[in-house]
Amino acid sequence: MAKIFCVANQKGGVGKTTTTVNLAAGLASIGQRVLMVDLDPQGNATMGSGLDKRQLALSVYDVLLESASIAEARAQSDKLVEAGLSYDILGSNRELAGAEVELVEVERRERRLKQALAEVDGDYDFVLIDCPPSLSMLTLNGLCSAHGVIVPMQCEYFALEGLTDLVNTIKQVHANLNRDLQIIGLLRVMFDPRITLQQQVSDQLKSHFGDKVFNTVIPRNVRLAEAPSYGLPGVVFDPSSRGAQAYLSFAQEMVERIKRM
Amino acid sequence: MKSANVLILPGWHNSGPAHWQSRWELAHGYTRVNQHDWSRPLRGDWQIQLEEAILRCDERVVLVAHSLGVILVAAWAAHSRNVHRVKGALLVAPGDVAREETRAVLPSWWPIERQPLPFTSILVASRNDTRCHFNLAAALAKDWQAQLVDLGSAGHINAESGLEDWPQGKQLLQQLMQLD
Repeated sequence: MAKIFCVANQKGGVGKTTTTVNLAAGLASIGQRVLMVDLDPQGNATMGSGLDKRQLALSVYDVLLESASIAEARAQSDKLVEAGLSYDILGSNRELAGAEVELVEVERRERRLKQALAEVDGDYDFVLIDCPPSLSMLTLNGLCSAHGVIVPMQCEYFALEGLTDLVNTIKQVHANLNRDLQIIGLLRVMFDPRITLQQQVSDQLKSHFGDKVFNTVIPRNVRLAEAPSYGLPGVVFDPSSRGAQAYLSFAQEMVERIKRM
Repeated sequence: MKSANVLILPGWHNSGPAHWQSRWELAHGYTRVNQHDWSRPLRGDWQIQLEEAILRCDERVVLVAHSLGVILVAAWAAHSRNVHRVKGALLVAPGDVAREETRAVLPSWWPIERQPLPFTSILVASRNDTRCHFNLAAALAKDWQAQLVDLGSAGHINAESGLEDWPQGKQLLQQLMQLD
């Protein structure tokens, strides 16, 4: 049975997509079967996994509208296959924004993705869903499908504010739509230990959330930032970089953590 | 009604300066609904652009659609909660997205939504339109409960049709703008 995780944070630009694609690549590199679902109409996780969002024959949009199954719409990236590491991708592009209009009158509209994922449950060990930053019908589909949420966050002054919004959203979804949903953990990303404030916020997170904070810390790393322009996860683009090594450790930590779930 | 609340919806590849839609926009200050990508139209993306354009208007709008823009209106109207914000629609030369060669490049646009439009509409069709057979246009008008106007031989009712400011079309638009 696949473990399904949303990568979410209602604050934009906190490293959700970088975390999704690198965790997907990291898990694939240790033999896990992975499906990456891009639920953001910007399609950055699609592009960052080596698929051209403008050339998608079918996408998560078609799945949500039930005009295609995941088995029909998923794809693999030639670039990743050539690099000897691959995961399945359910891609997206701007078309997906239309789902907000098209699903509005549909019954059980927030469960479309969950139903579609159930059909491919046996194909994967992990399903990772990259959520858009807004609380939309798309994000709700992700949260209704998932066993848990991975929350990437920068250790900055306002980080906790965004977290409060997300925690409230998760509580509401847990109460009304998905009793399985829980926060799996907070992942500290773009971390620079030389900045005192970041160290202080990191300590605060640890004291507030204890075990809910992942042990792995993802450092600020230029190779991770460069990788998307080559259409590759950092883990594939430069496996020896500090950022890639951190995501590989995070993948191991995830595997260990779900054994305890 | 304010001219800015007349929304121009061009089709695939947009309407150039000689197209009657562009001439009307320039002459009367109508508002073109711009799309992110005119050459690779994505139905969902185009729908959300239309929805947002309508929500930006401060009164009920009149839609002036051509070709793929007509199919967009039908797709949007089938799902949106904001159809009450449309007073009427002038639908000109619908694009036949069911044709094999078109379906191959615009897969998400097929099938065409055929349910009745929840606002007054006029569909203008041509007898020698190579992009949409007159019989299909007439069938769409029937399904959408739109008034059908037969323009005779006017090609795809675009810049190549030599309509210039297309005064007959303007009269049809005026009818819609004067609705309560």
